[in-house]
Amino acid sequence: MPEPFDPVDVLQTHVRAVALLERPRDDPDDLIARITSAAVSATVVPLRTPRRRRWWVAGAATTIVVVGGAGVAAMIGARPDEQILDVVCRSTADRSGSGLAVVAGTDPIGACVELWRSGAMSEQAGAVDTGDVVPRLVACTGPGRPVEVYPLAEGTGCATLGLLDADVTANVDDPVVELQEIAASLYGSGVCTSSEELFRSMEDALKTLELVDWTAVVDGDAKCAVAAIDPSRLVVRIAPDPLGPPTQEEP
Amino acid sequence: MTSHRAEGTAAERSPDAHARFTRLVHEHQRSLFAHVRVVYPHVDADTVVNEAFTAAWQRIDDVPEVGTGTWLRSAARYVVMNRRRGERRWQALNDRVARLEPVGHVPAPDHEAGLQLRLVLDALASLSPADREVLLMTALDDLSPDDVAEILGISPSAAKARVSRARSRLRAAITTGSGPSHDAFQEGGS
Repeated sequence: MPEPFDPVDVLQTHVRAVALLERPRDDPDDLIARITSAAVSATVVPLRTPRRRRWWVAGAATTIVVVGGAGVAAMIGARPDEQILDVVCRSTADRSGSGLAVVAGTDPIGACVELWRSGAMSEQAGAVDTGDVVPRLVACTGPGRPVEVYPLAEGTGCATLGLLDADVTANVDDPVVELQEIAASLYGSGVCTSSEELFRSMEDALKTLELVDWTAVVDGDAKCAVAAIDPSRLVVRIAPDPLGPPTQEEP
Repeated sequence: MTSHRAEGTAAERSPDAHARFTRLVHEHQRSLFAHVRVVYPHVDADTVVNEAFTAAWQRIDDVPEVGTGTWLRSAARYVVMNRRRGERRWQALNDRVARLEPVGHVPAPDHEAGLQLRLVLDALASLSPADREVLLMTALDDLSPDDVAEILGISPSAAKARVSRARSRLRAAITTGSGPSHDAFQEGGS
């Protein structure tokens, strides 16, 4: 068998070599002269501030997103094995209104907040110009529909649009919730993750999330394992996946 | 987060501002270019760097003395994301260039290292754009979780989780990978 290696190290070596080899086209003094001598009237890049609340939506897959009105049509392939969502940010509380399709990572509402803050949503047809103010946003879904984030007035919900509330389940600023998300992303990926690999990943996650009182334990080696989070005992238990192939036997 | 417009010319800026901007470009142009080139290989890095520095000049008083590089990376990401919104084929483009083929010549690694690299780049290409972004960002620069958080506009704990998750997925993609590079690696090492 080939020697085990750390892909992060390999990637690091490669990208640093790439970075060393290529230089900017512009001479710095030319760049300075060009920028400072030009009349400045472009939209200023906003300062970023970390958002307090981060939400994620469990399990959804979108294949084609077509946004109505004068909006944007986009085709985005999403693998059903990932909690990486393709999301439509709607500019009005209207199921057929215009909007923008985005790849939202694990944070659909956050992605749409970013679009509202940038002013991109206010530019959509029919949108009320809210300037930089982000309206109350609610994630909705329905049969055959992707996750859509609507601006909805207080006291109203997805039901007013004939849709369901998307399964907005957790605030990922909570490290235990983040731990659960990581565990789910590993064993819920549709491919088998071995006990050993899952154990290493969960130990990594515990360290990263600074959950110092937690431990990861393996209950039996298996080619396909699952991780169960037990907050009462501060344990991540890694066990054979009851739905996976049988425990590996030595030939 | 606010977005506003600034009007003015060089003549209206103080000599101090000009001197600071000059220093800033000289200190950060190369590293910012490398960051954009590696993390967002589907865009023209020079153009993005130019726009990020333009933003810095427009609001030079807001650019922090400490963490300037992070501020510039955040500005560059904002430029990239704005461009992405107008680029319907972004996803396809990103997938196509996800292998990060260098324009210049990278010295050929030895056989096994070459196979490892191919395996890693294939695995990287199979990940989501969000995972790729954070993996490339942290592979290139020694960024703290706070830096990653500021660049991505998320909380530090979420940034840490995102990095950890992306690394786990990269490792999992290699462990469970298939295809020519995976087969070659398995054969090459046996």
